[in-house]
Amino acid sequence: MSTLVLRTVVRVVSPMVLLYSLRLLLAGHDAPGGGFVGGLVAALAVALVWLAFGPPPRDRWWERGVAVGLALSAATGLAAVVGGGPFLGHAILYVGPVKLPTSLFFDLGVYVVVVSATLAAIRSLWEASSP
Amino acid sequence: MEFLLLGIPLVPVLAAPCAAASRRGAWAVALVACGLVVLLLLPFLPALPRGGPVAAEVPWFPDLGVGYRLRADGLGVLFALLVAGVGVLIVLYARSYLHHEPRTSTFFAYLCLFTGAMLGIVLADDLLTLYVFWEGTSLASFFLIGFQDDRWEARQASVRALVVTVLGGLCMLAGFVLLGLVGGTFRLSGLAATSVRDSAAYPWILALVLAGAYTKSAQVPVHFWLPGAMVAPTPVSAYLHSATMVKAGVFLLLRLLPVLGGTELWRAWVVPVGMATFLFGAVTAALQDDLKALLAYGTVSALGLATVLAGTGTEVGRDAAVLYLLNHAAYKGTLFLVAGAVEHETGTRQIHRLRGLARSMPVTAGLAAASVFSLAGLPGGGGFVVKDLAAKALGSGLEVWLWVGAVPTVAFGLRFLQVFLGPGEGEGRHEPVGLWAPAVPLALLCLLLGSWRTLPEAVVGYVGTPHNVWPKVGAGKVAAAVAVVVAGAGVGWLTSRVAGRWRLGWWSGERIFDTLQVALLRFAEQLTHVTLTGRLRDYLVVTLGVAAVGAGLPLVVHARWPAATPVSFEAIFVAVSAGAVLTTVLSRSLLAAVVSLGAVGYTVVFLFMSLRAPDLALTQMLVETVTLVLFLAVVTRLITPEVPDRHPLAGVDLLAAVAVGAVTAGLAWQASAGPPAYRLAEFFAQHAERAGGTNLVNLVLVDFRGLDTLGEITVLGIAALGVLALARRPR
Repeated sequence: MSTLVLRTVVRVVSPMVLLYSLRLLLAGHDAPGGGFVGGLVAALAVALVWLAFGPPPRDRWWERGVAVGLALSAATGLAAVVGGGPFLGHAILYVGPVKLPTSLFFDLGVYVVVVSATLAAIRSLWEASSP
Repeated sequence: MEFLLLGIPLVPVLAAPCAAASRRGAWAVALVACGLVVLLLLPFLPALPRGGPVAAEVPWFPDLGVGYRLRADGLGVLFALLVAGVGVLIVLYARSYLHHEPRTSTFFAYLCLFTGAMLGIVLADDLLTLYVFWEGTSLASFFLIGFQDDRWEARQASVRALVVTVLGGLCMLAGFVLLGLVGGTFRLSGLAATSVRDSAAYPWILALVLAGAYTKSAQVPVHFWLPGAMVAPTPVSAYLHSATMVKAGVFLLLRLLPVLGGTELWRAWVVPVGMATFLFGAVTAALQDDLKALLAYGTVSALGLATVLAGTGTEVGRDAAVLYLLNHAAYKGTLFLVAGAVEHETGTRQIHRLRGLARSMPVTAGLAAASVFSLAGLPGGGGFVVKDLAAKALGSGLEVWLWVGAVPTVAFGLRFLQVFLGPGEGEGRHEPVGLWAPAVPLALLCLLLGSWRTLPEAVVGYVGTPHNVWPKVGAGKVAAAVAVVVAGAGVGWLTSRVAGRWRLGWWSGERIFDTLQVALLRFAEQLTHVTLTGRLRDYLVVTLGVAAVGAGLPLVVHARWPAATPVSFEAIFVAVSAGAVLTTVLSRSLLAAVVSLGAVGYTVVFLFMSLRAPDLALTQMLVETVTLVLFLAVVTRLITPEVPDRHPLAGVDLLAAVAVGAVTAGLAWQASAGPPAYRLAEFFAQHAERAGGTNLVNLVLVDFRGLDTLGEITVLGIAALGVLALARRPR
């Protein structure tokens, strides 16, 4: 599938798709989007790169990403406990004029888990299927 | 004081990892922990008669009224002192006894864990706190019995002990929950006032709680784990399986006496079991040839008598039981330590191979004689005082059994002493100080209980109201005691003829347990063979079938079907989707099936769009895309398409698929037709502002139901790891 057309398109499209996935993540609180959808879009962007430019690298980064994302989400929950609230309670912070709900960090964890889990699955199936 | 109290069980528990980590100093860690507990307990003693018990609590499940609650009352402090005090002696003894053993750090760590758990039991003032510590002692006992894990008997004995005590413990937990619900509180000292005894649940509560007490205190017919536990190193036998842990059952009876005791039912259920255990244990003990087995059955017998005393339900009975347990801990602890010293020096525990050890081990022999003196109930030993009080508590109806049981009890005591008598042959044997000095305080205790009047009276005073427990020594009582000893000597001489050749067989209960265990394992194996076919299709049918039936039955029973809604343009999506489903099922090429399955998913995207749910539509579209990419790029290359003409299970497959589909559709319909109170949308909409967002779907995901999402991403991560494991090519 690694054709010239695909490579040219992917070179232009993938960064934009990645940027769009971040936009989905950040805007999720007020507009369609969120960590789950954003993570899927990001995974698609990376999978496109793999399709166009060759097989995924043989390392374990995506498996570790699952753990990192889970830890991040759980840590935001625990942070609320440390702050005296219930587990997974959230607050809205303001950095200057920018609204920053703490649930965004939780969503970031979801994003990382989804990207990592999807890519880990694709990569391991890919490796199993390539001769 | 409150803070001190809460920390007492935690001291040994926290010492356990330190002991495990230290290489040569583990015994010192354990010693300091036990010693510290004794020191911490001392300030509670003078406060008891004057200020009443100290209680403290930390909330645990405040909504359920469960807390980590401790209370230092007389009974608790007395037993806590016994546990920690004997613990100090045992640690000192074990240091000498185990000096060849390689893994002493682990040993002392388990010992510390046990001590902490046992202290928790005796000081607990909350039913569930008590239960947690109770199972803690079972676990520690499991590890200590199986300490020499390279031996099959040790492993099997530890499993027997664990299964029996934990099964009993689980029954007890059920009883505790019932008791807490009926009594209205889980606080032990708060239960006393409530009238549990009149409730309809009382027989159930009693039966369940007794199951826990009986298994722990090795009552007939579940006594067999205790003699089996003798494979543990002797310090463990002396500490857990004689002086402390096995007393927990009787302790529980004493603890719950004000709540559950004193009824006809209590007497009818407790006294006969205890009496049977008392007589069975004493006779069996007299027939043993192994020193530790003899002591173990002796312990079973003693626990039986203590149970009987608790079963009388009177104050005198309770005082007699407490004194008896104390005296038993002292003399039986000494005898175990003596047996361990004998085995350590001679390499055997067989009575018929041991003679005349008094010459080479005089101090050890003296200690044994002192404890048998107390056991035999001769005036001046603790046994005399206890037996007198016990006779008073039992009353004329049951007293005769006390004397019947006393004869074989004396017999096994004398048979124990037999190894020290006769002409000496033990040249080159000596007695290390570490193997007899720790027994001295115990032997002194059992003598003082019978000769120093203040001691038993102080004990009774701590536990309840002080009253006169000192027996009036008369010629009749002395003559009776001497007669029992003479009869016991005769029985001992008779039993020594047959000892060792006599086997319990099926009566031991061990064999029944092992047979049941083997049968259970075989059943599990058969079940595994039947259910695990190794074919994914079978598993799917079973999983989907169970889901369909499990969710479908309540649906059929409770469904309230909403009024039919008029057909709208969404019917188009349904029709397209149905067509795509048919194509998927009927297509003969894998590729075509994958693509048409994708079409099903995309029509759902349009459905979501038409229902103005952009988030759902976006997610659905992406999931479909990723799935399609995964299938087309990877999976089709991975598996060889193989569509059989007609699968033999096609009918079943079809049934399962249709059933799951129908049930899911029904559930969705029900959810949309629920009463307004169940509609969460309004709630979410009202509170969206506090969550600081306007996209409700996302707020639900990350905030309102964040815990669900955390669970979902955990599942996602595990699924990814599962794919990783499945896709790994065999090397």
